Order: sequence, then C-alpha cells, then structure tokens
Amino acid sequence: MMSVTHASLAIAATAIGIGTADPYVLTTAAIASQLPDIDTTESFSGRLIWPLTNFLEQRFPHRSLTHSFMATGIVAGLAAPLLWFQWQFFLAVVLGYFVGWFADAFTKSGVEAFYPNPARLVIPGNPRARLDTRSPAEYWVLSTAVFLTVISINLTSAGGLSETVARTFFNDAGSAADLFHKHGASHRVFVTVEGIHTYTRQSVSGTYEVLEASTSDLIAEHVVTGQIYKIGKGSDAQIRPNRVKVKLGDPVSVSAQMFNLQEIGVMEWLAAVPQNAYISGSLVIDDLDEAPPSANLETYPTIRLSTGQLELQNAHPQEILSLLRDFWILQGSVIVKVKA
Amino acid sequence: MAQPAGSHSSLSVQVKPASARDGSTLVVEFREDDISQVIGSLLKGQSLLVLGEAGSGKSILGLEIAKRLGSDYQVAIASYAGSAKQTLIAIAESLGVPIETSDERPKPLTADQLRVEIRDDMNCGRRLLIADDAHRWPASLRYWMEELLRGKGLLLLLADRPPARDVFLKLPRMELEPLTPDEIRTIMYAEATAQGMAINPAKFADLQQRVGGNPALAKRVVHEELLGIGEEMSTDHRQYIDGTPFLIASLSAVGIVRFIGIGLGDKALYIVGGVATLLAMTLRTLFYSMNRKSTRLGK
Repeated sequence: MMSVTHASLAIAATAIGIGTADPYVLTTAAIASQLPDIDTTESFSGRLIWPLTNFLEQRFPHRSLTHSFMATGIVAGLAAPLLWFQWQFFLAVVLGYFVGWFADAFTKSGVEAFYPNPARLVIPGNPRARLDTRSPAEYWVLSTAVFLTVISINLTSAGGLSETVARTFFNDAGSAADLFHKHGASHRVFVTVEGIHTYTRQSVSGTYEVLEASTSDLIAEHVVTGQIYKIGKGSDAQIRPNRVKVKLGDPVSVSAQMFNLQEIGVMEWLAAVPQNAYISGSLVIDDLDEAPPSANLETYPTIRLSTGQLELQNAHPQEILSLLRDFWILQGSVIVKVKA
Repeated sequence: MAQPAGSHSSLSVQVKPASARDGSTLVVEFREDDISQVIGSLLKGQSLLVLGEAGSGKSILGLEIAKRLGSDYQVAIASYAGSAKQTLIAIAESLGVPIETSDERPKPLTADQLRVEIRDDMNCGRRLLIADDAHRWPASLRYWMEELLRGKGLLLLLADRPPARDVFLKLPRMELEPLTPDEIRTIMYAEATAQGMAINPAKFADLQQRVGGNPALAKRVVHEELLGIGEEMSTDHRQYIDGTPFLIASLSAVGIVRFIGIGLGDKALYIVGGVATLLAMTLRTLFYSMNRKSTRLGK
C-alpha cells in the first residue's frame, strides 16, 4: 500500500475512533502510520532511520516483525508517557501505528500480525479479492478514507455523529432541550420554530435563542423582537411547535451572580445591573396591590404576581423598569445572568 | 530447477542439476534435526509418515535418508506417476526383487505377482520403502502398504495433506515445520549467488513475503525475479491466517451500540447503532462471497 493510503486511513480511523478534529492529533496519527514500514528502505520512513531499517531488512521479510500486535504493544509502551501529556496523542500514536500495518492485511502479501508466529494474516482469504499496490481498488480505499475523514471532522465540529442524527431527524423541542443542556453553558443555542401560537391561533415561524430549558420545553427569546416565549407541549406554553430545528451558535460565556436585596428602590438597584442581563428570582415590594399587570399577554410572563411577591423569570431590566419604576423593594433574592 | 526430485520419476537414484545442489544441501542442513529423528525412528523399526507442504523439502529429506541408510538397508524410493505397475517395478528393481518369472522362458511378472514378491522381500528385514508424494498413491497401493505394515515391512511415507484414512492414519506422523526466516534468506541468497546475480536486501525482504518457510518457493521466487516474470505478489505458501472471521466478528460487535441506545433511551444512538449493525451485516455478506479462493493458477 502507498504511504499516503496508510496516512489517510490512520487519519480517518483516529478522527472517527476518538472523535477528534484536532490537526495536531491527526498529524501524529499520520506520522505513526508510517512507522511500520521502517522495515524496508523503499519507504520514506525506512530511509530516514537507515541503520535500523538496514538491520531489519537483512534479517526479516518485509511486513513481519514491525507489522505485528507485538510491535504495536511495544509502541504503546514507548508512547505511554504521552498519557501524562494528552491522552489523545497516545491514542493517535497507537491507533495510527496499528492502522498503518493492519491495512496491509488487505493486500496480497498479508502481514505477520502474530509475530513471532510466521503465519501471515490476510483479509479476505481469497488472494484475488485482496488489494494490489497502486491498483484502482487502492485509490478507492484512499478516496473513501479521505471522504470519511472529512465527514467525521465535520460531524465532530457539530457535536458528534449521534447528536447530528438527533438534530437532523428529531425536530422537536425535546432534542433542542437536550442540546441546550449539553452545550448551553458554552454556546448560544438557536432554534428555528414552526408552529402555532396557543392563544392567538396565529402561525409562528421564526428563530429564537434558547434561554432556559426543561425536559421538553424551552424558554426562548425571539432574535429580532427580543420577546420571550415558552415553546413546547406544556399547558402554559405560548408556542406549540410542529418543527424545531436546533443549531449551535457562537461560543458564549454566561456569568451568573446572586443578589440578596434589602430595602432598596427599583431604579437604584437596576442602575447597577447591565442592560443585557436576564433576571430571575423573587421580590417582595411595597404596595404590591398597586403594581400594574404585565403588559403583554401573548408572550411568556417574565414578571408574575404570586402570593404576595413578584416572581421574575429571565426578565430584562427594561421590563422591570417600565413596570416598577417607582416601587420600593422590601426584600428579594435574584440571579442576574449576563452573556459575555 | 526447484522441483522436488522423484516427483516425476519413480527411479530411486537421481542426479540433480548442478544449480540446485546448493539449495538442496542447505535444506538438508536446515532439516538435520528432522532427518536424524526420522532415521532414529526407522532404526528402531518404526515406520513413519512425514507431512509437509509442496516444496517443503520432503523429497530432499527422502533422498538424504536413502543415502544415509543405503549402506545398511536395501532402500527403494518410489513415487506414483500414473501407473501402479510401473511403481511396483521401480520398487522391485531398487530392492533387487526379480521382475520376471524365473523359468526358462522369462515373462514379466503381473502387478499382483509383484506385490507378493515385494511383500515377501520386505518381510526379510533390512528393507526400507520410501513412498514419495504418498498422497497421490492410488488406494490399491495404499492397501498394499497396509499389508506391508502388518508384516515386517519398514515404510517411510512422504505426503502433502493426505486424506485421514487407511495407511495414513496408522502411521505415527511428523510434520515438517516451516524454515525460519534466516534459513529461507540463506537459501535465497545461495540461489541468487549460484545464478551469478546480485539482489539487494530490500528486494530479498520483499520477495521473502511470498516464500513463507518453503525452500522450493525460495528458489522459485529468486528465479522469477532473475527472469523478470511471475506474479508480483504470488500467494502460494500455506502460512496464511484468514482474518475475515475476526473482522466480521468485531464489526458485528458494533451492534452493541444499538442496545446501549435502547437501554439509555437515546433515540439517536439507537439509530446510529442500528445503521452500523446493518452496514456490518452487508460487509459480512460481501466478505463471505469474496472469500472463496480459487485453487487454479493464472488469472
């Protein structure tokens, strides 16, 4: 087999096997895949380590000692220090080396995989069905390996194979919620929703950014209007979706801070809170009876009145300010989330 | 020529072409342990079956044993080349058994008569019959050999994967192990030197893949290389392990993923595992159909 086939197979195996797209790890695998061929001066790696190659070549048939499980074990032993550095590199070396010689079992000559036993491992047993070096079949293998590598790297960047399947085939709020639980801490998560508004009976179609998720419901903010809705099958959801397509957005870091409030004016408090914050928690305010009802019925009630206190859920500072500008907070505890 | 002596002739003594002598002496040297073991057994009066793939040096071993025991024993080496009677005549000649009737008008003995004569002669002791390529011998001769064994006949059978029945089952058997890579390399080197050609180690290492532990193949690939003919990667030796079942088994293990998916209630993992399982099954079908090896030479 050509060394480029070995390299591309090793890269494909490593990319799929350990689900990585790290170019350094993949390069390590490609280099390791060239090592089994140090037993012949016809190979590049063989010419590089000439004295050792010469020694092996004078004593052993090609594809014997270095193309074996035993040699793989030795390489794994030698590469073990990499485990303290980064385990991916260790696996890349071992996997790359293994694939480097195992692929030769599919060629006419086979490999002495069980060295010191001289029997040659071949797959399949029929020599006519095995590969010839530089045959059209080998170019097929090469291009398949490259194709798989490209797919694997794309899938890995998008969260892995099974997640991609979930996102492609299960277009419901549940899989969006799962994705949010997995990546919500580090990435913005967007959903494109088609469905119906439960109260107004209008069709809904738009893109929303997920702020919170339960098992099957999402609380999400429309990317254009900034209005917040509950999307899902719960009885209190405003949007009942038929189709939820989810995708990961830019990386984001969310900082959350807890505040205990005591005897403070709403305006005074909010002056210290960033404008793009989301506030959740509960407030006990003076003259609660005079508090105006929430302005918008068709969106998610971010500010709710309940048994003597105000419940906030992902409320914007502006909303609070517009409703409760002149009120006095007796006490309360809130969490302020800010996306950075 | 790399063909084992005696395979195309039933004569006991053969002069080998000069070019092969190096190789054969080396094979004798490398098979020294086997030879002394066989001789030891024969000297104790124990007949033996020696197994080995085509080209592993059985015939060379037979010739060497004949040479070494020639002074003490009446030795006949024979192989079967299509005619049982010819084989019997060759054996009779080597053993010094008359092949004609001894009355005043000699007539050639019939095959049946030869059988009886040879058997009687073998029962006198100090006789050794070496049956080369015994797996080719017809049933009539094999049953006759069984009869020899029931008497005091001493037999050495050399065979390549004989059927597991009659005379082959009754004899203690010994397998000729493949030669080591070093030994094979020495034979290849000697052969190339005898042909007056220089081959570099890289080429030797490459050629040796096609040889396994088979000395006749060692010579053949050197000749093919010198002539520039032959398949680039012939697969004629027997030291192959078919890894297809292992590969299929490990592919089928991918099915585990599907059950993990079911168990964890992960629909996506279930789908991925299910697809992988079916792919493995498809590959299995392909590998099975590809795996029927043709035993014919050529494309």
